[in-house]
Amino acid sequence: MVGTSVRPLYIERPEPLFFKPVGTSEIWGNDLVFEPGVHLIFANSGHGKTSFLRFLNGQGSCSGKVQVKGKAETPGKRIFSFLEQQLRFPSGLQVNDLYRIGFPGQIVEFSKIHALLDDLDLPGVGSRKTDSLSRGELQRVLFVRALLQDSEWLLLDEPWAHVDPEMAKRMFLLAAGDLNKRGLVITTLDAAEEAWFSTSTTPFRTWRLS
Amino acid sequence: VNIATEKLLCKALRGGHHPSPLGTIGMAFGVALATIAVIGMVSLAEFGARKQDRWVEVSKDSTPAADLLGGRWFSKADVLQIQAAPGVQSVVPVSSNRFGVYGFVQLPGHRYGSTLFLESAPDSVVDHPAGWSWHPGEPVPILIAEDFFFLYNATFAPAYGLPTIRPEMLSTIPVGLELSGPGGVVQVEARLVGTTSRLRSILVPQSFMQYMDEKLNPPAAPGSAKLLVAVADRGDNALAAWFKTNGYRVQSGSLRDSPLVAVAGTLVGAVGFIGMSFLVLALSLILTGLRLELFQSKPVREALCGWGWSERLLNGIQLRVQLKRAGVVALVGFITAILAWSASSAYLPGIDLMPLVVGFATAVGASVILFVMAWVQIVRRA
Repeated sequence: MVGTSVRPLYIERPEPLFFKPVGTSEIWGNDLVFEPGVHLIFANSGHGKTSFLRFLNGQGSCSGKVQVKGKAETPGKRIFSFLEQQLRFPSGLQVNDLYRIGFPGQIVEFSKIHALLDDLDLPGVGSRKTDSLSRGELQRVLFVRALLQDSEWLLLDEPWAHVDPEMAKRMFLLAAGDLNKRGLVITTLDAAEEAWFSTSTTPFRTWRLS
Repeated sequence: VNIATEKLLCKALRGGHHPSPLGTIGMAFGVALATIAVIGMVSLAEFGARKQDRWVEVSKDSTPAADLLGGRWFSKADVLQIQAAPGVQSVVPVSSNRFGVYGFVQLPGHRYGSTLFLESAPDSVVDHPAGWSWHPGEPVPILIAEDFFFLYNATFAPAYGLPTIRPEMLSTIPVGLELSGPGGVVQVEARLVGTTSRLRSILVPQSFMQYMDEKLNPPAAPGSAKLLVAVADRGDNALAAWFKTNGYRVQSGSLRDSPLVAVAGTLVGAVGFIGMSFLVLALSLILTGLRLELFQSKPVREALCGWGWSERLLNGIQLRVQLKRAGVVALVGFITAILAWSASSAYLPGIDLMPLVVGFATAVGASVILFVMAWVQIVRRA
């Protein structure tokens, strides 16, 4: 990818500490390089998709090391922005309040947030309480947060588990909107999605956890 | 992080709920009671220590008929007999006025006065403050018994609607004495310099008493009607029995602790027990609530950390909430300590700042324990 500002990720021998990978895999136990672009990680349940993304984001319990090599970091810019599969959220807050604490050290205009929410069929959701949102609504609300967080890599853990295929496509196009500025790592267990990605025009690399 | 963001983070960590004030109220109530109890205990201990003087007052157990024959006065033989009694260390006679004494307080437009008595004893045995000396022409220093002072504040002043007096205010009361005898009448200015726990009397320096005896020339006294006797042990029942058997009367309460002090001590102990119970229960309530809050907020904390908030900052926010709670508890303790100390020093004269300091320390101690335990929970469990 020519002219990208995204630095590749060098990942040294990631190993989950609390479960053993079944058989061999492309990720566990291998040194990897995630070049800028789209990376899809396919695996069945229980093979560590979430563990791997949490490991990249500096959370959870995996051994190994993640290095970002290349140009100097942009001050204040985070390496990763993460949409969790569990959709953990602070309850008792309005959606707008969630966004007020959603971008540490970063100022994001609400007009931008609301424009994205409108694109994802969530007009006027800002004044609603987070507890009142359905899983699908919550997934989109948290997706917008992850999308607007300043970062070099966007990590999406089963990001369209609760939305229909049409909405999933819209979300993917937004996530992959500027791959020169941000790399994308997406996990999924749906083989149908793999097929769908194969038909998209966006080049991507596939990884497996088995 | 600005205040609005900190408030939102705090709300997020609490799951949108407001913490119950019950724990804080209980803790503040417990600290208030504990502070009152501690101040009461220290004040009573100080008061008791002052009472634990080795000097006791002894008079003769006379009858009206015997009085006419001089039975109220101690003879030299009496003094020698007492001096030889087991447990007695020394004997000092107390002189009383033989001239007339009329004392008065001069206020603008009013003059309150009464016939009085005065006594004096050698300066070495009087528990006098600094400035206990007199030379002709100077205002005469006066010491009044703590018991009189207590009676005035607790009984006389409320009965007549007069203001209570603190020990440090005594010197500001304008007192005068009118002394009369065959040698004439003398009016002298006096100053109240403090209270004494050793003698239930109104004391003036011995030099003043001797000077006025010479000047006013009253009839000579056949001896002393009161002795100050230094004993080895104030709780010596055998000595108390010896005095009784030999026809001497020891000032009531001198050879044993005041039952009032004992009752007050029991009451204070009960208040302290209730206060400590409240403290322990409230602390448990607060810590259990906090443990639950930390447990419930764990997923949210992890999510917030995943968004980029540092664990340390989130800890700091939760610690600040506990710091505020500890501050409220300390403040209630401080206010209670000041009120309790003011009350105890009004009723137990001679109390210094020590009870107040111990009261403050109690309030600070309870707050620090609350904060440290909360801090350990937050840092370890977060």
